[in-house]
Amino acid sequence: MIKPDTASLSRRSILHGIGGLTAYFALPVSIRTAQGEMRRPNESTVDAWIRIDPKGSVYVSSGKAELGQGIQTAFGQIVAEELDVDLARIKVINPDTDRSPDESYTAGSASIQSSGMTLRHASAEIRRHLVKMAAGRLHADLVDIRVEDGEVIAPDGGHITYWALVGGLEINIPISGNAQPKRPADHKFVGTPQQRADLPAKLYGEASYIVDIRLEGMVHGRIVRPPAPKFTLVDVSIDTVSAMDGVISVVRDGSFLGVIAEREEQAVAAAEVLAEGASWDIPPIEPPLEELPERIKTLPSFDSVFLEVGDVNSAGGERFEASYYRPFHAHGSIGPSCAIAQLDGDILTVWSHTQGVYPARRDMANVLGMAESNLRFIHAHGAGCYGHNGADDVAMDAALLARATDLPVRVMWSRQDELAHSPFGTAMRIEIAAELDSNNRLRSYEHTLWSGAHIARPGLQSQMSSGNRSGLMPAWSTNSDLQPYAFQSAASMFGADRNSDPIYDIANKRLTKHLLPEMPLRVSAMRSLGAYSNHYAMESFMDEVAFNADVDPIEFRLQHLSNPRYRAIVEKVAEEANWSGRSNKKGTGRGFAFGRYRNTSGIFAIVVDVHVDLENGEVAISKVVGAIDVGQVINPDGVLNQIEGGIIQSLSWTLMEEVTYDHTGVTSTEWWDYPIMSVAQSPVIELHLIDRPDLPSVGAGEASQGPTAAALANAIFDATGARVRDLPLRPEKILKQMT
Amino acid sequence: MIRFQLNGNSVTTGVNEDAPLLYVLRNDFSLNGPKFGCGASACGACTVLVNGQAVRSCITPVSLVADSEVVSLEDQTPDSVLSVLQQAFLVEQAAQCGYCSNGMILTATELLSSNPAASDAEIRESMDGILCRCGAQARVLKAIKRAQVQI
Ligand code: FES
Ligand code: FES
Repeated sequence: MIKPDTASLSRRSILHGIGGLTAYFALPVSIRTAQGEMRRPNESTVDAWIRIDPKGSVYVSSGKAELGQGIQTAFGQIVAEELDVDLARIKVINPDTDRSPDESYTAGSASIQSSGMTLRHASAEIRRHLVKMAAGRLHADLVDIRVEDGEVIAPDGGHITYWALVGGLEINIPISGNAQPKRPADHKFVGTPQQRADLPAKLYGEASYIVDIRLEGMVHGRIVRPPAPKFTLVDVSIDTVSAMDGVISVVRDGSFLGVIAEREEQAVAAAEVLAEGASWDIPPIEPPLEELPERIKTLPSFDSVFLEVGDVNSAGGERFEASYYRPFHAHGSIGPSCAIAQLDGDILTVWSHTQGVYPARRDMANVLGMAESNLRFIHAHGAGCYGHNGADDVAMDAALLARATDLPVRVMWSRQDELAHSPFGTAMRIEIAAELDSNNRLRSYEHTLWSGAHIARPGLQSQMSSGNRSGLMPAWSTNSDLQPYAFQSAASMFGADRNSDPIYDIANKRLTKHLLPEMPLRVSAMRSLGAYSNHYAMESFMDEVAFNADVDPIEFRLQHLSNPRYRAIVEKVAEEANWSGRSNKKGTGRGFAFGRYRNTSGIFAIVVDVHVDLENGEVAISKVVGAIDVGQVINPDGVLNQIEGGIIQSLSWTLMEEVTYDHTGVTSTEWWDYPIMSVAQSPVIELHLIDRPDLPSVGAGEASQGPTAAALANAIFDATGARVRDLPLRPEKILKQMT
Repeated sequence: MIRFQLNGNSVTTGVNEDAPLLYVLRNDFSLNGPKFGCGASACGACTVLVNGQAVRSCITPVSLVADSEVVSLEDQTPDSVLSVLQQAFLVEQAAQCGYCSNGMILTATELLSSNPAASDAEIRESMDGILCRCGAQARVLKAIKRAQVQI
């Protein structure tokens, strides 16, 4: 039997800090300057991640933000599990540069793998430490101790709570990685469906979002800019606007133009008048929209063959070739981007729904010529963003306006701002060639892509090799010499090749990318990056080859999949969807697709059923069946919700979405110009989750984007014989391919 | 002065009568339920009930609700259709970011109040103008059907 050493705690009190936190949870927040009630501890100790207050609450800090994906709930499950406390004790704090660990961006469906696993180890470490302490106090043997909801209980009935043990002090132990987390078989919270911790407040109208923060004296700002990616303000008349009701200030800095007013409707009205009195110089947007699908192949590019296996040169089999195109897509958050900024002396505080408080701060500090330590970024929940939308830009807008007053300035973008100025998911072209041998096996596979950038988030300026750069759009129009990023090598442009390497057993492969640093519109991260387009192309292609070889499309995939985990997901969806081959009924079709996100993350297979009106080409998606494997499942309902949401969003992108522009700028700036899938158009969705408690957890958030697109295209082909290879799959294109 | 009932309380406001109801509710009466989404009657995020009708508060001048009854997501009337729907949305976890939930829940409240036995097609049709970008549409439909059983 092991007698414990007496473990101890650091003498540094954290009571003060926790008091600040509690106040902070209760929105509306009060103004807090960056003097910081709470020191940000060393990230290698448990205190940076988890704190136990004397009242028995467990505060969890992560650099990863809640974006509507339910990450805070999953974190709560992980921590409650390892600490042996009830879920209700867990309070997850929004990222804040004054107190959260720096975990860069919340992106790539990686929060469970990174932050979640750190929290698991930190919690296990704390439990081990506190149980040891308790054993010493209770004069009990370690092996006889049990813990119930934070209460450490000895066999003789002696007991003490974690919070009494901690007494408001820092625990101050490193995350050594030696404390063994629980075995999956012992899990109580992890792997069971949990309701989202943040939803009750959101469904009952309690303050939850950035738009619900109301600071003392807060005023309203609006920005005026044309819907174009590049513009210069030639002339503006300011006097009439300055005289309008409630107007506090009109701010002009180069071509940056904004107005601050006491009331929101006054700011909106003033911005309208300001816009009417402004004239802009808008350079031509090249290439024009209609020419882009072809000219995308001749734009200046960084070219590389980035994977070559075996020999793809012809061996005399049957050769297939096809070319696919994806237009620009908009994130289309339902709530336009919003931020609040307040300048108090030389301290600037920014409330933002950014995906990365630290990188955004880094970039903004550079733009404003401030020390990072004088700038505090606090995350607040926003509407779903699905990638790099206008969250960071509107924070920059608010900061630029905040310099004109000492009051907190709230800026909310209009719908037009959101659909014109949030970065877009880039247009891409993909060409695939492959050779089939006489046994209907793919002997070779060649994938060539042309793509704009997939990551141009703020805070990357140090990776840009020259000049004074910023990822914050408003900075580009000020009088400073700040410029957008200029990509100078293929290495600085990530994400285009995501899922271009087929996961199938194919001996000879060649993958080529042409990365385009200059696109006609501003582009950056959108859910799944290049994986959506690559999967759409690849899985459409697999369907085309299978059809031509007269092989069942699922059978064809299975012939190229030896990995039992992949086969299990494909077979699962085939069984649940009662797959019996293509429907071959005129007007009714089924499509299948499969993929593993990043070839290392969520494994997903899908069957989509459609009806297509053969007269007008209208597509109705009747049913979707999916199967998913994300390793060990933390919150099954959370995974299902993410996958289901991803399916509907991908169906919407694929079926109907396309950003349009002309010489005046982006023209799809209202919902009626950029329709998304409505409630009535949404299919019935049936999902099947395969839990793998003994395998590492991987992300779910992006796994369904690409395969869903291909399954829809394949279903439309099955129903009509029309193979549309340029998105969106609009009725007129389907009709044209049918004839 | 414009007077109206807000979630059962009599309130008055002296703001400009053209001011959109949405801003008055959010900024003068600190409501969080109705949200700005488009300002053009195209998304439903700003929905409130005015005399039981689902209304888009972003394009409704505040003067139009004079002497009317306005009900928002915050209303706490026990056993109301609204409360049943809120509970059903919670049970079905019919949201991701939850930004569209206000419009979804209040539009469904209007529907089920007048037509508790609405068919699937009627539900889909009534909900069609409320946009969701997270893809919660299928769960929203399930939540409404769950609520129907309880009304
Ligand atoms: S904000 Fe009112 S309908 Fe969109
Ligand atoms: S849940 Fe996010 S918009 Fe509907």
